[in-house]
Amino acid sequence: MKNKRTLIFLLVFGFSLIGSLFFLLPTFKSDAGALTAVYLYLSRIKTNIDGSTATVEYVVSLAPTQTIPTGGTVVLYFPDGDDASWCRTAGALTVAGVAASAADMASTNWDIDSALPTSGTLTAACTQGSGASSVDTVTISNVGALTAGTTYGVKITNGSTAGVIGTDDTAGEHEVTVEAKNSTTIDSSTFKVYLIANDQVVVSATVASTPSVNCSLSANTVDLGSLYPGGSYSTGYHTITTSTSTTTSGYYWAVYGQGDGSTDAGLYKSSATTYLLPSTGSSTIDLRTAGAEGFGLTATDPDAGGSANVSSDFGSGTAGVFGSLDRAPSGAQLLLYQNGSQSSAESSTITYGAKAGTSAVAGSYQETVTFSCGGYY
Amino acid sequence: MKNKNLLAAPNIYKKFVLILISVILTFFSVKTPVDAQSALSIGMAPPSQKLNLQQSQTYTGEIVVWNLSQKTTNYKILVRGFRQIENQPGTAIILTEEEEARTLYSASEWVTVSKDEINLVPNKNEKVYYKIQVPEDSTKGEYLVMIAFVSEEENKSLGTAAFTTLSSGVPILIKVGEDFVENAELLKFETDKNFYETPTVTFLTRIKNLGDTHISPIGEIVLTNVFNQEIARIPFNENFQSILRGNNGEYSIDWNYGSFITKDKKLVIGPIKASLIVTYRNFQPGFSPLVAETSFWIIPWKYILLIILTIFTVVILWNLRKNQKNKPQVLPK
Repeated sequence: MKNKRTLIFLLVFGFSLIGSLFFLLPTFKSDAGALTAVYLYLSRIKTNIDGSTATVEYVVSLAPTQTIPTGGTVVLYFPDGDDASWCRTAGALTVAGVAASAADMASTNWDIDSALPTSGTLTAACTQGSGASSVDTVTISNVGALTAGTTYGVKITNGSTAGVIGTDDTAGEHEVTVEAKNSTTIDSSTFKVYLIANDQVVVSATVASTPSVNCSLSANTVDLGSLYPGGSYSTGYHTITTSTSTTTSGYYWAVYGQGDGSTDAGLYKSSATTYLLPSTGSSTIDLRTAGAEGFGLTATDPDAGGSANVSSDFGSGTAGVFGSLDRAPSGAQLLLYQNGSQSSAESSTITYGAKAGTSAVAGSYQETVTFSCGGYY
Repeated sequence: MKNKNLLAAPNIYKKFVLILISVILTFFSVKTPVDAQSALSIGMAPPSQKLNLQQSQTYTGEIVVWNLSQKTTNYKILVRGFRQIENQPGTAIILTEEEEARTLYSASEWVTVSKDEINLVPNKNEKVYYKIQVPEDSTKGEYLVMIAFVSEEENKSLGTAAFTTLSSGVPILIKVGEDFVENAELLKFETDKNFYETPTVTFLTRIKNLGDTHISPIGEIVLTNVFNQEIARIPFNENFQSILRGNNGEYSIDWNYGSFITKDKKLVIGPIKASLIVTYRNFQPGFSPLVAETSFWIIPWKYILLIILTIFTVVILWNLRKNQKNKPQVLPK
């Protein structure tokens, strides 16, 4: 019975003592919240970035849900099993507030509003975890006041002397906690980053030493205006341009017409009454003379005095004298050629000349001239 | 008078308005030619192919084509034999259907191409694949085929006009078998003129290919002066332009020395002898060279005339001065 009373006394005394201690000892008040718009952007997501042969940059974005007074810190906690992987060498790191990052999502909260403010000078350092319950951390100090709802950004890179950051050597998810605090005012959030074995694609291309040739015509239609029976000749122009790789032996242009499809090349009126202003074979046609009729073309030397040559029929140099065309590929004539490569494009002006004789029938005349270009074999 | 002028003024205005209206009406009533003018462009690699294949062998290859103009153009792809253009070595033009039917050495039946036409968008490479299947019963020799690209543009004009088509292609020279007959004949070796005022000479050479495969003759033209001193060695066909079987090849080689004295003080004036030596065989080329000689003169007659005139003038002046000295002095009275 005495023992029972003693037990009751001790219980009452004990509870009274504990209760008194709650009232007498100082209280601890914690204001904890969650960070929003928080991410860790890694410039490389490859595993095992060692910070020396390859480096990585961290960009942290965070938006507190409560105002965190000036003079606080932002701390990154890495997984317990990743010791000395994220903080490769403990020491001071380079830190700077950033107002934008590659991971920003415009017009959302996930868009950095402002660089992380400072109270003095921002500093950062990393420490390595060791064993269980000890993790790699990166601590940013001298953080200015953080306003609730504002998204802040900060970039961390290797220190100029000691601190080196990296990535873990295991591919997959890694849990990271970001904590912004000043004394008892703490906002934090935990999320995962994903590492992969190789984050780079090597794109390779070879500039081939294979010979090549480029051929261009400046126009596919040349209007020759009105021809008057027995009148003077009309002209029209366009250019042909050529370039080759340095390994090409040279280039050439050949030319032929279509004409009436059977007898000769030349400007042809295909509707009734048909009529041909002919371009007859491999010679020249002089349209200066009275009564002359026909169609032809000339080409200018693209590099006067250089290695390009215009075939004599097409480069008479006399106004009104044109080279005659032959019909179909079987009548192709060499127009322009060059022994040796032509690395910069060079152009020759093609001038068409046409004249209608007194017996020419009124109407529209047309000719399709094919320019065939190639590199020497 | 004053009133008359005032009355006349409205008539002038009326006439002016009528003329203006008729000009505007004429302008809108005249049909202007509709010219759909656009540029055409095609580039390709390689520009040619030389293959050595055997009976029953299959070969696959690719041609890369591109369009450097600003407009998409459709090109029709044709596979036919080809021939040399005129006598220009190294050139190729596709055969017509009639020529194709007649030729003995077209390999067009052996070739299949991955597409019949290709739409070339500006500045983008496109690949065309081809396969050559050499028939089992094909005879030894060289066969020719060209994969040609011919532009297909809508040419529209109401008036008199010239339309243009762009064509380019890859000539493929296929040797089937071994031990080919390589034979050639030198038909011409000469200069374009006999007399030159400066060392600017064009050598014209024509070679006929008598073998059953193409040849790429190469060699040198050696020039010697009147003292039999060598003054220049000019490479012949340094770009290896080839002559097809049964064809002639005209080679035009320009020599422009730009001085009458060589660096080792040899004279480039007077009669010059040019010796051509060309080899064309793949096997033991030195056993069958083509050789020829020609000569020409380099006479800088303007310089020579100037020197003669200068000497003549100096001699006259010298004589005049001498005569003046020898003339007895007249003493003053």
